[in-house]
Amino acid sequence: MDLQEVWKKLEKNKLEKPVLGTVEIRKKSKHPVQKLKNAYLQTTGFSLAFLIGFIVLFFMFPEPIVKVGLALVIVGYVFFFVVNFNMYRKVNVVLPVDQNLKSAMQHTYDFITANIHFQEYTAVFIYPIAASAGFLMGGAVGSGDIDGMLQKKFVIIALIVTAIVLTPIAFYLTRWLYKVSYGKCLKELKERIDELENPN
Amino acid sequence: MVSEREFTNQIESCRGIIFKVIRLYVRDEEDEKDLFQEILFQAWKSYPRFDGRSKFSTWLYRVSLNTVLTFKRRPLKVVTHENFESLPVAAEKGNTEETEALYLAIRELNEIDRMIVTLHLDGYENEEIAEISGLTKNNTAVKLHRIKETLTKKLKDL
Repeated sequence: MDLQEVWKKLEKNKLEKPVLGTVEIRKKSKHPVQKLKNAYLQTTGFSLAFLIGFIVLFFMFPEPIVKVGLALVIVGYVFFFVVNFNMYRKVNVVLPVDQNLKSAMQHTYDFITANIHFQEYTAVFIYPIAASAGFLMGGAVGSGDIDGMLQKKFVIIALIVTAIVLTPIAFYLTRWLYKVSYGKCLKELKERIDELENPN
Repeated sequence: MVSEREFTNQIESCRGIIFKVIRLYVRDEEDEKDLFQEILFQAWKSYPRFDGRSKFSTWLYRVSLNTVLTFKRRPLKVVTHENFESLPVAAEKGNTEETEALYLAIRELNEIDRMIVTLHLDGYENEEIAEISGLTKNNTAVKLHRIKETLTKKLKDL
């Protein structure tokens, strides 16, 4: 059987049949890289909203210890906002189509992996700060005497334990969420890259 | 700078390439639509860098393959001869057993092998296949030889 002859017949009969949709260029991509870019924009927006909220709270709470805590949180969120916005600006959703398939897949794989690591490590950095700030504000509102509250040893221990417990939870939760969202996509990309790198 | 209209006219003349790549890799209608739009998006965004050294059709083939194989698709269902009737190819009149068998045999290959053999069947030389895929020329030849053996054996067994 001549495969090329059969192929030509198959092509005419079936493969060139139109896929639904007209040739109309949309301005938005649905590629995984674009989805990550969108996620950066959302995170930038959320961090800005939280930042504004913390600045408002900074002026609302008179207790110096809460002000110090909130000032740290504000610095943390400014950093978080800047790095997320920078990542958003840097992401290029256009594939390196001038390169071969292996390079395009490697580019996508590296980009997604680097971003997952970035998100995991920023979670480690930002969650202890956010947890401590929440604890301090809760204490200030609940007890009405934050200075007195912080004199108690068990409150300090509870604050440390809160940060220690929430940080790894946040880290592994972030890792798990990215695994659910991108794990299969990454696994398939890796398999295809390996196939091209070690074909025999 | 080429206008969007000129670009879409050029795409229209080669749209069969996009359909072919999508049909070979995707079985879900939503994915088909999404990928069609995604290929157009990627091609449009990359078009300013198209230097005309290769034919437009070759360039579009490359864009289509790179997009399809880096896109997050819905999981494929296992295709067996029993559910061949559900495949779109079966609905086409005039298909012979041979074309149906070849279609199935190619769909059963892994995605990289599928790409290599379809490029070969479309008339691309080993050197071009190597350039498009990222394999070396020697590895392309070895792989292609094995794939053709597998396909021929599968088709003989039917």
